[in-house]
Amino acid sequence: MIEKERLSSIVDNEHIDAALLDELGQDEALSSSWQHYHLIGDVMRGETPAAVNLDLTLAITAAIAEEPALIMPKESANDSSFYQKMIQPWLKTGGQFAIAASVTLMVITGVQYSNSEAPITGLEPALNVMPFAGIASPVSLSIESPDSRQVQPEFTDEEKVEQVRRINAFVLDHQLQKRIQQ
Amino acid sequence: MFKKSVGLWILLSSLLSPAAWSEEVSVKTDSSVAASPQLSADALLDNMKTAFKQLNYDLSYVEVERGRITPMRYSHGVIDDVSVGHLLSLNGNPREYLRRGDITSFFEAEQPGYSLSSTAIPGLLFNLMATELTLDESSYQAIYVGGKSRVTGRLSQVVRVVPNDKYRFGYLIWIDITTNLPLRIDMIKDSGEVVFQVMAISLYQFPDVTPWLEQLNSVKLPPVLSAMQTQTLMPAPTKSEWKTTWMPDGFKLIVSNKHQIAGIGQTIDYMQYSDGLVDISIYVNTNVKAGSLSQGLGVSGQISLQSKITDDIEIVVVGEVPSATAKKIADSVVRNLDN
Repeated sequence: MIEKERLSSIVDNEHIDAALLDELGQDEALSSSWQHYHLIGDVMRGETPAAVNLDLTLAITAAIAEEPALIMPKESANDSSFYQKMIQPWLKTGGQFAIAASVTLMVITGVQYSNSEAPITGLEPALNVMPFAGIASPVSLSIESPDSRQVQPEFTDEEKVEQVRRINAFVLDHQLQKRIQQ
Repeated sequence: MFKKSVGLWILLSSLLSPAAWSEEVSVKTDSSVAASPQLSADALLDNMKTAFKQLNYDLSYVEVERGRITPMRYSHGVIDDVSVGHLLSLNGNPREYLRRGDITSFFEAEQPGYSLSSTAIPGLLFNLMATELTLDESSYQAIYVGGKSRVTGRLSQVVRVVPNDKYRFGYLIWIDITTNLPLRIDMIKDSGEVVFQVMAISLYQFPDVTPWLEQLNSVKLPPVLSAMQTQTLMPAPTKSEWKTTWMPDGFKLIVSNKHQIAGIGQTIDYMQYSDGLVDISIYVNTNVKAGSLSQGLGVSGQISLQSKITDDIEIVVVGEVPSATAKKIADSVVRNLDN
């Protein structure tokens, strides 16, 4: 309790206690109290944001910290037969160009594609879950196994692959052109 | 150890009252402080861009796009009056970008590194920092959103960058009060949906350049690619046989050429438009027998792709614009009869 009083005086900028500051860095309970005191202070000074700001940064940092340094060994990352058969050879030919970008791999799953003329609003439901849908699960990998369900079912597997490959070729080219034309 | 102690210093300085730390910072960064009168949105953006290229700092952030989170770390310092920045992806195959003065080097998986002159590090953050948004002829307006907001454990001011029309995305930018560095950027649709987000998770400011950047600065970089080497991707500009009859105001034609698209091996008519901040690529393929996309729309968060086939001609529009814009542009492409 005495510690908390000393902490409170630090927060109020009344008295700087070097030893306690040192402790603050080490003691989780103490630093959490410190955070709360500041929050109370913020409220009293009217410095809180207009909207309630959940401590997302903490959640993100935690999610990142929990993730193993390498969640997938190389083999299993490329395990999908889709990847092995179609994407990998294409990447290799892409490498023959003086400039290529690994950005494509990120885009492969990112593009939702529909061959129908459906209203645009109906095609973007995934956007509604932004911005923090995936924090709890380790979704921060850039390479995910491609999800063929995103392509309309009337395509054969070969056609799906061809369509996805072509979409990504255009997106990649767009990104590379941005890079060199600037 | 150096990093830790400075980090602690920043933590400690935030313990003091605002009046106390604002004095400290004004000496260091020579920039606006909380105590001074409220700056306009334009001034806040200018200060942010200045801080971004003049301070010594490590900024870790995540990019969030459709629930996918990509953590990145950007280290910046000024060495002999030259801005040196290093961006590293933290998960999966490393991607690294090093910018020294006007030259950017690219290091990406499965290929040798290369350098390009006068181009920014790729990414929304760097595009925004390199773009003059508030010129008279600009398609955007900056508005200061009142109040203070807490991001990355720090107080920030929020600036809203609003497009003049609904055909492009707008931005919300959170600017750290202490350093003027950007802490969060939301790329938003007309409807308010966030399509892409940059969110800082830690920021350390240093009084001097970090040893890490000093070390990077002495590394010999891959050679700058010559026009010869980029010829496959960027042949000499040609007058396009195609044109658009509609483009949102402010988009200007940057280049038109015919070039080979990596990965599909077809040579296709190409036009690139830019409004200074985002780009739109238009592809017109007259040889659909060699391969084409079926008519449709793809969205990856910030990038929209619209394809259509009319009279055996494939038109593909790709850009960092809302899907409705890409569709409207694709529908407006016609043969250029002025030739």
